[in-house]
Amino acid sequence: MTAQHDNYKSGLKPTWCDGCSYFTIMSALTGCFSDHNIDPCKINVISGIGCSSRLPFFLNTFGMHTLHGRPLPVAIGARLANPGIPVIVTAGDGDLFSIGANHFIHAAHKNFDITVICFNNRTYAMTKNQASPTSPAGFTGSLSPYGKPEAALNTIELAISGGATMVSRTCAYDKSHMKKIVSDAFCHRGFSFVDVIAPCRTFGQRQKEILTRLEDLQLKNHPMSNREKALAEASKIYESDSNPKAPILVGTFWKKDALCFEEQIRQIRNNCKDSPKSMDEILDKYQV
Amino acid sequence: MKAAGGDDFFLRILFSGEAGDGILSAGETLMDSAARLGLWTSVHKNFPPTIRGGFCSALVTISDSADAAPVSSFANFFFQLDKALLTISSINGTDNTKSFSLPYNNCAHIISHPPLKSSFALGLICKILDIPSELILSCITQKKTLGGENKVAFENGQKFAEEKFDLEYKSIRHIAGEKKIREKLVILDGNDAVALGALSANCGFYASYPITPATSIGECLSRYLPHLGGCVYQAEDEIAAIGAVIGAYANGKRAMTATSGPGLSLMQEFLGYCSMTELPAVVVDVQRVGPSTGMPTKHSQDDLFAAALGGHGEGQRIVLAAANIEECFYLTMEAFNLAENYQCPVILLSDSALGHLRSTCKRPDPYSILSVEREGADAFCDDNGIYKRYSFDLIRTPALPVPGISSVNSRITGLEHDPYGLPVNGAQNRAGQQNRRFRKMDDINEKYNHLQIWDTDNLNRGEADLCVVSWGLSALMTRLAVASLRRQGVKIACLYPKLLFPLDKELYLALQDFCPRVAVVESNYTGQLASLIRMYAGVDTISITKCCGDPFCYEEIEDALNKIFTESCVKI
Repeated sequence: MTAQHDNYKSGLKPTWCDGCSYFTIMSALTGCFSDHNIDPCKINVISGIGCSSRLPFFLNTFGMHTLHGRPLPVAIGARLANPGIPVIVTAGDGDLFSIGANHFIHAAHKNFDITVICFNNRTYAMTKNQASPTSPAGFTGSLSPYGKPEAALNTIELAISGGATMVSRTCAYDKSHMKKIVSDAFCHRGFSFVDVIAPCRTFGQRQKEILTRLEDLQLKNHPMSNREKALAEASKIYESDSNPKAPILVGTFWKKDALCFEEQIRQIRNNCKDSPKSMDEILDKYQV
Repeated sequence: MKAAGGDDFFLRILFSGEAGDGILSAGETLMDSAARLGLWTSVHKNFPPTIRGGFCSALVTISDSADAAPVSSFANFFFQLDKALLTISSINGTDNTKSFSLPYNNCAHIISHPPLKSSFALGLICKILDIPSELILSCITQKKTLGGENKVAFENGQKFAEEKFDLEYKSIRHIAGEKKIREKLVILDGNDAVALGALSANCGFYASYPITPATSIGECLSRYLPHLGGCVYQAEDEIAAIGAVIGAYANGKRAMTATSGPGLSLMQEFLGYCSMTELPAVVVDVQRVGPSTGMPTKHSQDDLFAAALGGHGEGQRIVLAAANIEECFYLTMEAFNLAENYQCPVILLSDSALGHLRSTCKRPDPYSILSVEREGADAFCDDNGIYKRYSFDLIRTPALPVPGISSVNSRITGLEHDPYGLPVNGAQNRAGQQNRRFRKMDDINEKYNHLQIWDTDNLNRGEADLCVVSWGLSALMTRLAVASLRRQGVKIACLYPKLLFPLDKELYLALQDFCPRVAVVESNYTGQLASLIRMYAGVDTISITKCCGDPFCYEEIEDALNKIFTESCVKI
């Protein structure tokens, strides 16, 4: 019997504004759990700090609301200690690409079997609208009243070059596309990154026009296992950030089959068989 | 010359020179040979934070007693390999010293290859002390770093000793034959002992970032842990290391990280998270001279404040300190049980000198401390089957449910939370939760009083001339200084705490009853334990401190203890 959507919700009222795009991301996740008939006691949802990172409280799964920028290290510990349990990291753009960018690169590079969902609202919303790494140039926030100097960080390019083995982008307004992408990422073996375009209503980001600009890579027959083409498509994001008429690319940019870190260490362990296997044998090695 | 343990036999051989001269290898080889002869022996290493260049020394102590001090300002044989000089002090207590030039100039190969100096010195000392040369040679070849030239240098050293020395030293071979130790001994350094203690305590996960002087804990664990079903992970920094430890603990594995001062600073935010979420974590801090990069290979005990009180907010922490190699082993085992019992972070303090102090010691018993097993989380659900871990009336925090094993799940947060673990801001809840988190620590000093070592010499209250407190490696040296003073008739009551924090007020008040003059010996500038004792127990203390990067010698402590009858603090 397939578990119902709502079985994955804790019933706690979300701390998000009415009409926040994060509600639809949560639905995409609970829909994914329901489709795969996941036991809520057999999945870890690990988050950082910020609006998006409150998500684990609204779900009925195992959840950890960790420190700002640090969900990935905790997720890695969970994966290594308990490899049978899937881990989903949900965090904001500030969490993953500012304070936690270091961890993002290493987790991607090592190809841990973790699904990272970035709730990308391109601002620090909880602390009342400061520029984040993904805010566009000229962004006016409370700490940049005359405009943000630098351009937005290209999360897709970073994830591909960092070594993630699945890199996708979707938009919280396109529910069916998002649901498919989230489900694909969840099923991917290795580090999957989903950048969800999720504008913040409260801080006045334009919303509806985004839908008309979306262009699905998969409808263009983008070859997602071609790294060069994946990076070429990713670099088009600079254009869509600065030109309000340019299409916004969504879909899976890059996907590669590779052993994940957890499988690699199991293999390495199996390669050296003559090591002592009990405390007594180990202590014998130190005997005078 | 002062004897360490009364009439016990002991000899000290000091090798010094440039890093890269083979100083540490010489020390370890001589020590290994003495151990194989059946004697107690240790090597105290002092080295710079570089691969080549800088001053380096190895002090080898050989004794028929387990109590010989591993650190001393005195050596019977002092090889200055960089200056080609050997100074020999008389062993019979007279102050006659003789110096000899080492004839490197006659051995061209030594000049061209500096590590051969140490092989020459080993040949010399082997002859003087009558150590079977095949024993030293087999220890040399075990290291695999030495070729045929070393054997030549070794034999030249022996030849030189035969020609130049008619000193009558006791034959070590002879002493070993008389006093052979019957116990099973192992050779460990402090860091090995921590790693083996962790394995014995069923640690299943270790994460760390390379840092001197803690790295070798991970080196040992990475050899053995994977084959015991565990995992060793090299993280991108110390924040990630403690983060991974927390993730592992929340997923049912006992987990540990080891670091030094700079890493401990980076871990502070996550340690606060552990206190707030009531998650166990074991952190070993092999202290070095700080702040900042300081002197990375040098001994210090200056992280006690950071371990006990570091980080923002007010969190619950347990701080332990090991004074010798055996304690490194057993306290690591205790640390895991304390973390499990109190569901909070436990920080074990070691230091650079102890971590690298290599010594014979009794084979530790990996089964001597049973692992605490916690009841399943399912037992702590409310009437509706919802997990309720943070009830105000629960003094002992339940263990967390484990994903995939438990039939209930949980959400963990560093936000203040209600009895179900959900975030709330209410004033009454906050006061109640913080009160509960601190109250759960209340019984720790009663339950773990075996971690406080009393040595009152059968004195009654009020009878002592002096009370002495010391912790970590300084405590090991303090014991020897106290033994010496007692032989001179001074009445001393001592306390060597291994559980430093939460500080046991009653313990120090009881000590003060022996004598109001309480000296605290520790390797830092500000007297950190002395300050905590004043702060938490209200007991006035006299600080004896040393902060130069070298551990205390027991001779210095003895002198300092003599001075405190007239002075309010002593800095060495």
